[in-house]
Amino acid sequence: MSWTDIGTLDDIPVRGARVVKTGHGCIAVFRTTADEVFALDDACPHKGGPLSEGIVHGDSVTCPLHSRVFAFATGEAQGADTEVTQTYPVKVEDGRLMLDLSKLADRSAA
Amino acid sequence: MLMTTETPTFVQVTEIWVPDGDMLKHAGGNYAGKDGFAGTSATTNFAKGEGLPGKAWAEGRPVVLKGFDGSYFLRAEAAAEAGLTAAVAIPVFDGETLKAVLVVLCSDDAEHMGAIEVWEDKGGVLVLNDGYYGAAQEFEFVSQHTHFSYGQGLPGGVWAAGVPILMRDLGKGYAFVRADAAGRAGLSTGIGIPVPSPTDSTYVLTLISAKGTPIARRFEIWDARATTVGPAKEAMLTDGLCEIEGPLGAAGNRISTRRGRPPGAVRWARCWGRACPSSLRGPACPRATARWWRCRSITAANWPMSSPGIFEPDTSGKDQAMEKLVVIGAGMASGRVLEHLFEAAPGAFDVTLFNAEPRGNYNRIMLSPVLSGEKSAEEIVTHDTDWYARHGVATRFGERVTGIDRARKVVTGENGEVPYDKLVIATGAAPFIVPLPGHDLPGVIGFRDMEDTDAMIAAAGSPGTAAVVIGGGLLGLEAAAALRLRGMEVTVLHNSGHLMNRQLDEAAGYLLEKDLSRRGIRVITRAGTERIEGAGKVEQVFLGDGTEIAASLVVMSAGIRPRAELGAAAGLEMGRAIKVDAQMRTSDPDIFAVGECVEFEGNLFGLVAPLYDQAKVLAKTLLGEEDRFQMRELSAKLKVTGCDLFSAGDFAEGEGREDIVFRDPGRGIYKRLVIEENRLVGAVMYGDTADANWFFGLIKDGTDIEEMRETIIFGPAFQGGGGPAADPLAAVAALPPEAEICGCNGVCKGTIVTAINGGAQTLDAVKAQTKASASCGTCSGLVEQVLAVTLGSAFEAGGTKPVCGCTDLTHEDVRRLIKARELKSQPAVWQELGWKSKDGCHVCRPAINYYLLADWPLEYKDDPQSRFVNERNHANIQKDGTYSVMPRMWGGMTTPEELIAIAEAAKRFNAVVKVTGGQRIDLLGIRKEDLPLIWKDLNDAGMVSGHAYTKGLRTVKTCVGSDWCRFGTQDSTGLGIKLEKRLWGSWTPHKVKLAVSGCPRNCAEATCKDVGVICVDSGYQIGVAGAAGMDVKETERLVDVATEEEAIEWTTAFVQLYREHAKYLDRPYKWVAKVGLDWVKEMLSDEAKRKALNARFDISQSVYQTDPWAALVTEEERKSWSAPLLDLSREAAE
Repeated sequence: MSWTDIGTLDDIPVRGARVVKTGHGCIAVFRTTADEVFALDDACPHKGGPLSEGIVHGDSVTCPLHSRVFAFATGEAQGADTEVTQTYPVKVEDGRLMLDLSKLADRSAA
Repeated sequence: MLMTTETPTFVQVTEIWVPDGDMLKHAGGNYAGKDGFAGTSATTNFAKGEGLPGKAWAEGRPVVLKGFDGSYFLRAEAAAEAGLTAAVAIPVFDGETLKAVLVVLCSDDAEHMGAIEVWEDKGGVLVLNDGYYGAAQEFEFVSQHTHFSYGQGLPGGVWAAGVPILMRDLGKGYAFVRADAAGRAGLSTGIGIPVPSPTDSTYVLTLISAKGTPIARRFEIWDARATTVGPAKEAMLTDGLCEIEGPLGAAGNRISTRRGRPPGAVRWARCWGRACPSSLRGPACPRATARWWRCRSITAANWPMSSPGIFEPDTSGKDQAMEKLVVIGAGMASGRVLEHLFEAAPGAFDVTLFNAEPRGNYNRIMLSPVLSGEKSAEEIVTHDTDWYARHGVATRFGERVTGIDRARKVVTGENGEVPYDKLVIATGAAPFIVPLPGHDLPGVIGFRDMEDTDAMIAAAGSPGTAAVVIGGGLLGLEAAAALRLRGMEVTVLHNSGHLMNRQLDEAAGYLLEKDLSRRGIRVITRAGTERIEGAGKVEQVFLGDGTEIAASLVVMSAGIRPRAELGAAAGLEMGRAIKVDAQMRTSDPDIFAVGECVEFEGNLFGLVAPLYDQAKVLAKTLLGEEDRFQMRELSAKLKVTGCDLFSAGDFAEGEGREDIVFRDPGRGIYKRLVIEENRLVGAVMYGDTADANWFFGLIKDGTDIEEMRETIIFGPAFQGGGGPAADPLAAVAALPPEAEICGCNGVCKGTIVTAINGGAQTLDAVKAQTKASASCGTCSGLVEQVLAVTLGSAFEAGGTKPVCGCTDLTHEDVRRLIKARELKSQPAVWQELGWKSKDGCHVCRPAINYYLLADWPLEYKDDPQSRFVNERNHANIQKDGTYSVMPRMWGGMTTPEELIAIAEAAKRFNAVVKVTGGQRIDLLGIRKEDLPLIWKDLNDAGMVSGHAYTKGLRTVKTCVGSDWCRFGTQDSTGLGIKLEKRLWGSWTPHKVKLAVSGCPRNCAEATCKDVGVICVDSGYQIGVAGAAGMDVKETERLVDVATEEEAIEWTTAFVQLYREHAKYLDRPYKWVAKVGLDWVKEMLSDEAKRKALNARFDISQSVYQTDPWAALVTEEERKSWSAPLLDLSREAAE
């Protein structure tokens, strides 16, 4: 694990998201009603919709383009859809948001 | 005067058995006239293990026996004759040696309310070992399912204190955990007694009694501990109750502390504590862990004169080698440290206690009841002058410590230096005063100590005064409720979206807010307090939105900050407070810190439970014993009478976590359990916290709940066999015929079933016949389930489609209920309408957000996070993630200057340019980060957002009209522009498009719009409900009017009627088809209604007619609006 400090919890609106730009695409960091944070690739595996612009509800987000719903925990599309998007470990430590980008490095190496 | 009538007591008989060799001999008793039983008892002896007294001896613990027939009870026949049916035997041990067995016997009937309970330490919590409850069956059930941690409730309090505790007013208090159940059983008084046992277990005996049937007529607690009585060797009466003699002390049944020898009794004492080597038990033990107390329970007159054992208290006094302990701060944490020290090793330290407050230790938690007037300041004093004197504490109250000289080991106070061997810093915390302009005005008070409390009470003294409480956390709300009780007008300003946001989730916060509002406390969330103003003292508080609140008192309760300056100045290792290790030691081995001024493993502390844990550890550390402080689960309860809330554990969402949500809108109940890997990790409940402790126990114990998962939310009552399954149909099927289904109309299940069997086979038919679900409609789902259960497969849940999976209600029901029940926030809708999810979904959230802002434009605040991306970003998202931008062109008119600006913007941002069907120009392919920049360019040229992305007014298409056209009859362009300027910015259930054509040739294609106006010579023909999308439909004529003003008034009224009544995502043509054009005409042709609709539209426009593009004012705002949280792309490329 290599944790990167990406900002504070308050930088993200409740039931909203912000984006972390990387050399290998954007990562959407979400904040739920209960102030939990999650990170997914900011591209819907269906047609590349920016998940960071979706509506956050419960533990999931709805893609703004075609309303696929992805669970934060697994990155899996819910219901009849089968797509899976990449999840990234993210945590709050002393009010700071820490994102683990090692999976990103794996992907770029592959 | 002697009382002649006897109060019936719960305990009927008491007797003492004393060991003589290997037998227990009868040593007296009070048999209250039960002579037969007395006679039998006097001639009976028990061997170890024989009968009830012998069993208590053999097992070394209190034994409860609830029925004598066929049991090991030897005197069953005589007991039956005397009407005695249950007994409890309490052994009195001195170390391993039995000194006596006390047996109390009760008679079991419906009138005798009371309880005798034995609690046992099971892995760190007290659980009920056994208990006798008489007729208090519900209380028995609750008790069986309640656990107590160290310090919690009556049993836990006795366990922690190690001395008997008398607790009054059980049903009202909050110290008594089982208050609700106790209140219902009429139980009013509780007595807890620690029962030393030679086994490794800890036992606590509790006696709970009702007003009508006290446990006993008289009860006294005498303190004979060496640390208490000192050289005087006289036990002190510390507390007591008397039911037959009236007041013992000056007031009520409370006995004021007084010195004196117990009347007619000999002191006895026992050694307590496993650390003490048995050969040295008693006062000779250097640790002096003996606890001296004598409890004259049951009946005063019959206590045996032959004492089970006498030790003289330790009178050795302070010895020369006593270590010098200096304590800075006399708060609850350090107070507890001293108690532990004096109990475990009296005389071990020569203590000097500094306190900046001019008094000793009091129960700071109870300042709220003092503020409300429910308690007096004297009542919450923990250690009085006497206590400090008895323990030889040199008190330096009202004196601040100005420095610590670690090299010389000296503490400097305002009145001089004191040397120390060991130093404890317990400086606590200070309220955080938000540095608002005006925060230093007189009348701004933090809520922390007695002075603050007195100041608030003084401020509340004058009639009609108003207070503002800044911060809606635990303490702030208690202050608010207390000030309200004192008659003040109280407003709570809270910056977060819901009250107590650290302890509660949104739904529970909403219920709390509702309860407080009902008490007359005004709550403003997301308050954004800006400044406090006043001439020489507080007069008003201003919010960011300009709201002004008059107030003569401002209470700051926005959190606390550790008071750790002394530690920092002394060069101790600091974090956010003074850093300590698990032994409460700072970076200096002779300096310790405890309480709110410490930081342990990154944690700060504010609740009392961990502070008491710290105190215990610190006392042991000071005595050279091993112990470690550990973080543990905390729970929170609000001390506002009538607000029943509870939260514990971690109720955040997370990977692998699941929620179980239960809502009962009718009773205002909300419960949420958070489950992770088959363990309960968090709980929030509001309205019904009866099972809170059971849930808290499950959280602390990490109990595997897989087996009870389906019914866990219903609490312990449903566990272990036969509870209704999770299947709602089975639950409905199990309901008895008299179960009420429809609360509004009082319709029970039987009535509905009869109606169904009589032929009412649909929801509507049942509604028509029985009125069930005909009022508020929240029970319609339940009625359908009754239909399903009664008709089986013949029933098809029909016709009505719920909003989404979060609710069974239709859009129409939700809209109606939002209006009828004045629901003004999303959590209110979720709770009151029984939403099945925690915070809605992408389907219902935008709809509810719209309904709320349409119905309550002034009260409800639009929630961007409940909006589809386009409405949040004020632009249309395209398939590649870029956006299209469209400036407004009023009535389709533009100018060369606007066109130049559009062209330049298009070039600058590389846009594709498209002329639209709505007579405007679309700029496509704009990246999100460029949006604020292009908006700025277009704003600068005088253009505003065209709202081409909204469920709101889009365009008003026009033809050139009478100004230019040779056929034009009226100024269609002018009317179009006026309509657009009136309607733009409004949110509607779906998009709304208008057109105005200057003559019936209809060049503006007005006959397929939501509202289309055709100008004719005599005036204006207004058509509505056209469509030219998925469906194509010609408009229907609403009305013909003569003037432009009338055309605008009718059009606006139509749009507002649509806004107020349509289902979200119904275009006007769909809505009109549902309600009928006749109804629309009927509503709008009433001039008063038309004008009222216009007025309501005006109110909404006063909030929402703004250009979202212009909302970003500064360069900084424009930059940050779309900026990524962090840009690592460059870094990664390198």
